[in-house]
Amino acid sequence: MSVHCSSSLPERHAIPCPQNSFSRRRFLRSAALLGAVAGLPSMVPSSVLGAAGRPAPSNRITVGCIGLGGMGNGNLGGFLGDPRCQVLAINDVDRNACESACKRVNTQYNNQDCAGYKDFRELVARDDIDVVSMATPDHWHAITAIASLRAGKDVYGEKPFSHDLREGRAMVTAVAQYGRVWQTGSWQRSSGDFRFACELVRNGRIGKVHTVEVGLPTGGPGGDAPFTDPPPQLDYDFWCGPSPWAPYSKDRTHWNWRWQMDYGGGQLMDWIGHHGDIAQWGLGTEYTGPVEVNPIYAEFPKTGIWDAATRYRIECTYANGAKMILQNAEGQHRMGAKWIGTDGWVWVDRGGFETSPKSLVKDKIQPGEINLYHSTNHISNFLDCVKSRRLTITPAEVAHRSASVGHLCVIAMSLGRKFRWNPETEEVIGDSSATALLGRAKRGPWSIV
Amino acid sequence: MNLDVIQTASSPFPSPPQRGRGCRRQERGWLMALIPVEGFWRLSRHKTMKAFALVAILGLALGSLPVSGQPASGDPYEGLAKFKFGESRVPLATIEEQIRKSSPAEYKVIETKLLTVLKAPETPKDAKRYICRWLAVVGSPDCVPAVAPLLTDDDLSHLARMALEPMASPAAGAALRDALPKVHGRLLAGLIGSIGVRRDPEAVSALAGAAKDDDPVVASAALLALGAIGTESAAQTLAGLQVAPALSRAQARARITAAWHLRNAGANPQAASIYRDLMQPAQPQFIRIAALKGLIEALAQAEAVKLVTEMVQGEDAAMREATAVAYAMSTDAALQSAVASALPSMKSSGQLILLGVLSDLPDVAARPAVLSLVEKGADPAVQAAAIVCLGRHGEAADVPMLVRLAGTAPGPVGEAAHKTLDRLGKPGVDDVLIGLIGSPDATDRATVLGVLASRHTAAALPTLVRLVGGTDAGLAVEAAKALGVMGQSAQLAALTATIVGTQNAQLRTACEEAGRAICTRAQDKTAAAEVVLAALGQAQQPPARAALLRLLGYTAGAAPLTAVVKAMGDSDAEVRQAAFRALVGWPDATAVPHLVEVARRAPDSADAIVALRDGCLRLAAMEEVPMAERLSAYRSVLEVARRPEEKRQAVSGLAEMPSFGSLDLLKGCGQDAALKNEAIPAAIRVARELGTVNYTRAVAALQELKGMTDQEDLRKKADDAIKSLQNAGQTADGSILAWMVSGPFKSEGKTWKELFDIEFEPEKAGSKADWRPAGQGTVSKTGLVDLNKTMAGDERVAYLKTQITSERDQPAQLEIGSDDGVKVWLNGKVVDASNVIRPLTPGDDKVKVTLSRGVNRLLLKVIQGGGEWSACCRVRAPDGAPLDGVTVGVGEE
Repeated sequence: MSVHCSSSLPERHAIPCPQNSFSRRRFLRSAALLGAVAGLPSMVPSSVLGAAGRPAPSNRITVGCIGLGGMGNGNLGGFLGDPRCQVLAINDVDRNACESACKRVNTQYNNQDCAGYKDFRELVARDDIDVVSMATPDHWHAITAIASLRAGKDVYGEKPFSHDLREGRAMVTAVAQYGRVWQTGSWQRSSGDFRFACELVRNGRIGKVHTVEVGLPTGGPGGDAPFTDPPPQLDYDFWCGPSPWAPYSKDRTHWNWRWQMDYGGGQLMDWIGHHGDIAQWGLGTEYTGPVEVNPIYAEFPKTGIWDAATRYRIECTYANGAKMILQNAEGQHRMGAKWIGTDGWVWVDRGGFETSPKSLVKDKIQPGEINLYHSTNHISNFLDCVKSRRLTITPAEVAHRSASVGHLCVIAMSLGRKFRWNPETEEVIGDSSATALLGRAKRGPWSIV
Repeated sequence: MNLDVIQTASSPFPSPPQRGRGCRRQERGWLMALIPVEGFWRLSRHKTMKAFALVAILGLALGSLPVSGQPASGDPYEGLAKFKFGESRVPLATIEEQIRKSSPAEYKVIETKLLTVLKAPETPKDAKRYICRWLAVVGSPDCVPAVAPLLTDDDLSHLARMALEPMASPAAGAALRDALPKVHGRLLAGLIGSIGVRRDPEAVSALAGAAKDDDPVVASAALLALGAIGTESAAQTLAGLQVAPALSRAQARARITAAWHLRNAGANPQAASIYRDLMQPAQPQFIRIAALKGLIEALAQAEAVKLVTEMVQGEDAAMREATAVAYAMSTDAALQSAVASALPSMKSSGQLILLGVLSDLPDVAARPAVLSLVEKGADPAVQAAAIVCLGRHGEAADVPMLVRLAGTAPGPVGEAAHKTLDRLGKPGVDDVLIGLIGSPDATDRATVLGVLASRHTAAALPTLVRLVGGTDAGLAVEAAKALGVMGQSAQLAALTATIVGTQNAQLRTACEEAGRAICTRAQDKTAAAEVVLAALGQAQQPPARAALLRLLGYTAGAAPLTAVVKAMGDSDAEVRQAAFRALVGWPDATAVPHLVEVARRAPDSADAIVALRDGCLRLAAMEEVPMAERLSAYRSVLEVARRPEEKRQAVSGLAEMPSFGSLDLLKGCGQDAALKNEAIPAAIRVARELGTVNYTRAVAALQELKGMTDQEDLRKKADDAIKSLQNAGQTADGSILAWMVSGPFKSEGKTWKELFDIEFEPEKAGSKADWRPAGQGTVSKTGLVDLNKTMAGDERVAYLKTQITSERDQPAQLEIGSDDGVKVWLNGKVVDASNVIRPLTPGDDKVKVTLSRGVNRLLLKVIQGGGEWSACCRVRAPDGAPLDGVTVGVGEE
């Protein structure tokens, strides 16, 4: 079904929390007009009037937030903290999360204007919302994103970019078709150490790169909490959405969804949009991908409902022979990305940056060399690009390619064998089972077509 | 280890080099409380390979092990045939593993087995769900007849589509189409979605019917599926459908998708026709934007250039932006260049947006047009944007013009020129800049030197060195400034030589500042000192010697310090003052004795105050200075200082440095009437922090401090500290924080298992083992003792001990976790012995004990096989509830 058409909904699902669902922009314009004619009414909050260096309301970027868990709330803080923005609406299938976020927005703006929705389609249908911040579980990424893009919204979407490869390509296509601005929450790109590490590698400071080791967290088995009725504040069927229905357990939903392949992708997919993405950036393979994916080992839980691989090592070979080795970080294998070349290596992680030779740490990238995209604030970069219509530091195609590495690894682990991949056509070469796993059928009525 | 999580079946992959883990789910709550979330997985995952290996061996020895009531061996398909949600997933996981171990040629056997279970009437639906998933991987067209009937089942339709949707076989497509009239609502919408994914052209007619469905959810899905099919037939069908207003947006979106497919298939005229239709004002703006973008891509080049040029300077800002995005994303280089060449004749609104986009498109031939806008300079905003854009498209030949603008143009234009000069990366740019150093225009020269510094142009260094020593003082000053930004140790000698030789104070200062920056950056400060000392040996004039002495303060080593100290006796006041300043700012504690000597020689002088305050006390507060040297510096200040101000500052610093050395000094200050008001509270604070390190000594100090003051509030503070220390050895939930540690102990050739029963010194009667406090780096705030922090290595043991003081005889429970094994003594009696390899799970061992009134001595022997090495212990009531009347401390040592 269409995921965008609010009028197709049998009923409105606005959650009863302090809100107004009429066009905020219309209200703002009315207020401004009123001010011009009759003097400013004293009860209009200063935040509405563009005080304290904020742009005038009509020039603000209006924001709707879909998914208000950990990252959603973090990103909400980023948008609330940027004076160029005005958050207008919140969506979450968990009423508590929705109400809490609405309250936070209203407190920030000192009004009661934030609208809360259980059904994201109602938020997306609002023509007065310019951008959407999307931070749902992975299985909802593509559907909410595509609906938003097809409604003319620019999107700040959390990583991993997509839940499977076919979704990712559909999202990239929607961004291109509708000419929207996309930023993926791979915020490490907006951190100086990561950019500099990639610049050193891209500019040949360690010679010809033959290997990049990507250290990711180790997963764990679990998910053995009993099946129960879902809590009353959660619309669990909606939460399952496009993924297969299964009985509710507290181990299935909030946070824990990451460890189940129907909703997340385990530690590997959680981090592929960080260290995997940085590894691609350094390799300069942001617009392509590996040509062969080889699972060296993988361990899967046998009990509980968590089924994502917990320990893994996969080798991806690129067209130039370079290998990206993705492995859960244990023992000598550190978290982060470590590029190894003929003349040295560079390792970077959050709070860690080492090189060989050591002098590279103080090196300077010259103007004539590859100077990578410079951003110091991920959300701010997104908002800049919403204004300028230029590419963000993590645009859709780049994010899709990073996520693709993870998806290919997941497929290889699932099949227990290596396969070849054509990154240009995005087709598996000679393995129909791997091809079948590039996408997955959605539970009705949800679809990405 | 809990058997629920053991992987009994062999992995399809080569054995991993590391270990898996086992961790009881229900206990993870406490574990998570103990270990920061980020560290949790790392810690808990580390151990298990050996654990798995051990249990696998046990499994082999004992035959099949019970795993959640299911046999670990046997036919997993039998288990599958009975599977319901909530039951063991082991049979399913076993089949998944079989699939992973099988080649595609072997899938047929698995498919046959799966279909047998699928067709069995008694097979639960939950089992069928899983079978359908796997059929997506191992299934062939043979499975379609068995799966197709499930498409109409409310519970299984989705899963049946999971099998059929990715299947290339026409039979799968037919099954999906055939099911269309048999379902409705969300099942029908789901079916339509799968048909859309397959882009099944044979379904166009059926979808056209579905698009008229009363259910808007179904109708919308059908419209979008038609768009996804994207053939001419589908596109025509879509265009001809009369839909309700509520579905008009869905129809428009579907047509955008159809046009996209048509264009990708080369049917550009048909695509363009759709896009033009959708650009009508009646459409929502976002549809018009998408249509415009698509149209630009679908048109022949000449038409596209005309359209882009027209739209990018149109009145509608959103359409302007859409045009720019389409332009940026275009793969037609000729189109991009043609539009760029039209820049000079566009309106400024279009120029501004295109210039921004062109900054991201280095391959577009835009330089002539951009240059034209720079030179025209009619609109400062456009000119500035063009200059920024030139940072991507400009060449070396543009440098002189940019230098001129950077030096002369006001506001954003000048700033943009500076920015562009900083980033311009084309070949030859640096050469032109270096050449411009000789420009007759002073402004140009200054600009160029600044730019070269900003660009860190190494090729300019020889020129800069030459200029520093040249005859043009103004240029020399600018060159020195540039060297300050980008110079390295190799250029230091040129700067010091100029300092020695010049009579120009401004130049000397510039060289000194540049030299300071280079010395600060230098990796080898001793080598830098040699350069400066060599110049000092040549310098005759006091100003030069003073400057060089100040520079020495940014180097390191004994020789420069000696030179500085010697110069403090120089006959020239300026030199003496410079030397003193260098000494006061010396970077390490080797200067302390000399600073103290200054204060000792003239204790009432201003120099004494500076030496103590800016020299000694500054160094004493530096965390990178060794603790003993810091203490020594504080002690010296307390001895030498005449004024209470410096002494008070020393007291304040000592309060931030908890150690028994600090405590002793603070106690001494507590006897000084002028300092006691600061010293005693500081000492109480330090003693309180040391309580978990040495309870007895800390309490004794607190008692002593209490006796040193008559102030009730201080006495109460001391009492409070003593009281809090009595239980500082445990967390609120009873996890022990205060430990003494001894080890590591090894025995050549003995394995971890054998080490368990070897009696090392700490467990011997009358032990004389060397015990030391387990510091904060080893014990986390939640009570996790990480022995790897100080004793890393395999096949070894360590001991932990503490004292539990109970107000009465009472039963208790020790909840112990260890990685790996552990043996526990309470009051000399073994109460727990687990000679195992395991990851740390708090409370793995729960031991009922009786605590005697008074002191109870607890001793743990923690075994290390390899990997992580840690332990924890919590004291609770026998039922796991909190336990009253108990304090924990390490005792007398």
